[in-house]
Amino acid sequence: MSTALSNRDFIQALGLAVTALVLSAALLLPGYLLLVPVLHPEFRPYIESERASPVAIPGNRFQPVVFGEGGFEGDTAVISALAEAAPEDHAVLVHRQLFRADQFSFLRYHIEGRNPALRVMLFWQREDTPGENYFAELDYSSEGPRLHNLLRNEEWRGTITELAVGLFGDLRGGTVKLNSVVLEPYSHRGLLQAAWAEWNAFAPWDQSSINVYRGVPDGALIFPVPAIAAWLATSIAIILLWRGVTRTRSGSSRPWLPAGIAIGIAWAALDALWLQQLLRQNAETRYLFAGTTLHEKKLADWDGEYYAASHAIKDQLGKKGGDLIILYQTDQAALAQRMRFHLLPEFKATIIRPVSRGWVVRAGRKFNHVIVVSGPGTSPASTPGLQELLTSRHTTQWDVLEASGPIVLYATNGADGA
Amino acid sequence: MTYPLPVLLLAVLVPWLFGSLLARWLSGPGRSAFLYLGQGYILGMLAVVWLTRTWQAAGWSLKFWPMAGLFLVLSILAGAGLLIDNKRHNSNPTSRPGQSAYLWQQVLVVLLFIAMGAHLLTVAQELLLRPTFPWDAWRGWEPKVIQLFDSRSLKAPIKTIGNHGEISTLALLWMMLASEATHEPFLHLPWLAAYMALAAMVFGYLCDHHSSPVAAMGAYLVLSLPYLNIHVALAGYADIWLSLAFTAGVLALSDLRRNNRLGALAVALLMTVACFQAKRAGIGFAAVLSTLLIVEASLRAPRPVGVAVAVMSAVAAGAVALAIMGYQDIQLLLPGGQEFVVNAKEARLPGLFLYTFAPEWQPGPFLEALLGFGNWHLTAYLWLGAAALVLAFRRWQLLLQPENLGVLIGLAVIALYFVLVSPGTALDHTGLSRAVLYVLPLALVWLLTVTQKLAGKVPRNRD
Repeated sequence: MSTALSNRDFIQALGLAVTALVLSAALLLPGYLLLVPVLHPEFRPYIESERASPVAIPGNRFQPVVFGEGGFEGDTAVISALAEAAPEDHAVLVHRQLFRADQFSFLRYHIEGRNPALRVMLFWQREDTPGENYFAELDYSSEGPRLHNLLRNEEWRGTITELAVGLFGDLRGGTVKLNSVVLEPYSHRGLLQAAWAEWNAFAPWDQSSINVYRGVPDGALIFPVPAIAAWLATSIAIILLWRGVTRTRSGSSRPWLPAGIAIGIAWAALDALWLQQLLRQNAETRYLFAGTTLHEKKLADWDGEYYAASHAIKDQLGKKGGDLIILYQTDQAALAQRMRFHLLPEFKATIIRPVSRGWVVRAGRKFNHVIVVSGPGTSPASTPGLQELLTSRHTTQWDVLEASGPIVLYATNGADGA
Repeated sequence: MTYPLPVLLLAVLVPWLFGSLLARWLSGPGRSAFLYLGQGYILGMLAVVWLTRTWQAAGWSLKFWPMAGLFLVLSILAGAGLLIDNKRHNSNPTSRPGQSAYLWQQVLVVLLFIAMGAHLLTVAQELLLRPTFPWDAWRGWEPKVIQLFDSRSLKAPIKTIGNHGEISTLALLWMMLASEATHEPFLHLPWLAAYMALAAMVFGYLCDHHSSPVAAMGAYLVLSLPYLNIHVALAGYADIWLSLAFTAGVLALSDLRRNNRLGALAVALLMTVACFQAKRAGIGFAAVLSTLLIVEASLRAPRPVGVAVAVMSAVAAGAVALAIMGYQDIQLLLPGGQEFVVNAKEARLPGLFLYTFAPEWQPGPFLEALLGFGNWHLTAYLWLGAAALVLAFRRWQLLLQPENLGVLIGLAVIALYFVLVSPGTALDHTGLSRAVLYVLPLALVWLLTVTQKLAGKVPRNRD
């Protein structure tokens, strides 16, 4: 067995590991940049062509066309309230200018006042397809200028006639400031900054998060894990090369320690990126749920209006509970099941089905109460398809007991018994 | 309504105490307390499942306090039995001779514990603040459990999930019985406890064979896995239970190979049952554990017996492979009138599983899930690197350690499932990462033990 490694041994090994990692980065970064035409062929035309000058568009050159409240402060466009709209409140600011997409591969945007509940979209129109909007989501990470890779969307081509910035979601009482956007030509620095921005991009967890953690947005330039693995592998190769050159023979475990330290540093780098995401998610979760009751948590949750409706239904029907049926608009099966979850344990939705004439008839016969579910931001009464069925001869005896956004509770007044 | 914290802690700790005492009895004296805690939690949850089923079979209404009281009585008896056993054998916990750690090792351990604490606190905050979030939890698992709670029995009239997994449903039911709540986030405390138990088990297992820094490193590597963090934070799925059971079972087999203790065999057998009871995918992993048990038994048996078992296993595996490839059909009539069928279209055992084959070989998702995405940090690369080192140093027998066999056979089962049965859920990544969770904690344990051996920190004859 080897002897224990002293503090001095560790410091030496740490020095070697750090040096190897630095050298590895010094080798890999230029190598990556040289290989960009191979690894990211979409950039080839931008690299080979003559570089245009950046086009800076200050915020006050964007005209708000949809908004609740806003204005200009110097060079900055300010939105303090979104326009109320379904399915999402939003604001849109438009700038019209002609330029060639093949001259600019990056967009540097400086937007302040963002929060995880607000999505920022870049829209553009092209000369060859007038009136058609193309879009890309601008990643959210933190305040300050960020770089976006325009080539993530293959529709960034041709002659651009119009750029627009759209804000969708919830300002949470804050104010968004569009300071500027800058169209930038390809540069190595821009590529690295865009990749780094993608590694730091944050999106709150959604229903797909339980399945997989990709680490970067869709279409990102490079995944962190293989990049860090390549960095680590190169540094370990340097350590082994150094060992071979210096022929250090003072202990059989010594060659392992610098490699182990390099592995630890590489793992810690990835973990730091991950912990950053986790802490941002924590902040968002605290904002939504900390210091609240269960009722308040559920109202603040992603399907708050459906929970509110189930709460109203429980109040309406009383605590004694019972069985009922849920009929849902096509494609809203998930929300119908969510309603079932909220209604338990007092009320058991024993049957959940898409709305159809047959099920409306059966529901009327077998259940005292029927819940009809439509999509977010809509109501069954105003949803084509549902409207006709719910005002047909099969429901003439039905009474509306509770109407709450996308949910309506009916008493059938004619069930044989549920 | 306010929910007293002591009741919640009691609900988590009572089965854990019982399970840990059981683990201490089975794994023997002188092991790391963290190992007992890690094994103890899954053993405790298994005991919750069996107690609940037994209680129901006796016709009694499910109630927390009598059941918890029974656990406490059993724990007292188990504790007394262990004390008597200790005195009778005059056995004192064996401790390895203390090695004074250098400053760098102490600093490393402190940093690792700080990092572990950061992960634990952030995950715990998510779990305790957020109402039930992930799809299958609110669509299937929890509506079923709420019905069980409402009826104080194991009857759920509305079928909301077809999966037969019991551990996650009854762990949740246990918390509902304790707190009389049905929707609160704190009902997911067992998921947090399972997360801590997994780390404790890895720490304890590595502590018994290696230094504290290595053990702390192993626990940190497991706790820091991003996908595991998300899985616990968005609690409600059954996969962590299967991961915990499978890891405990394979590590027990590794103990069995080292010290021939029957208790280790008992732990492995119990974990085979736990895998089976965790979720439907656990059938495959119970089969993996059973296979590893057969391997261990064959290694101990006289050579002709071992060879005969190997040949029979190869023939059986070959027959199943030929059936799946369409060269033959297998139809076996089992006791009870059930028929086990394997052919090119399906594999089924009524009442247990039905897998319909729609084969599609797409290596992309596997490479993405293991090597590209952020799920596991560098785990797959390090595991492959360790395997390459083993081959380079010609220490082939290290590849046959139970931990690595568990990883290899487990990955083979995962690949078979996602190629033959559900390629769609691999392509869209809705199931693949969750399956890989079952084997990667073991991969981390193996690569740490192997690098210690290759670095000369463990004598060769302890391979």
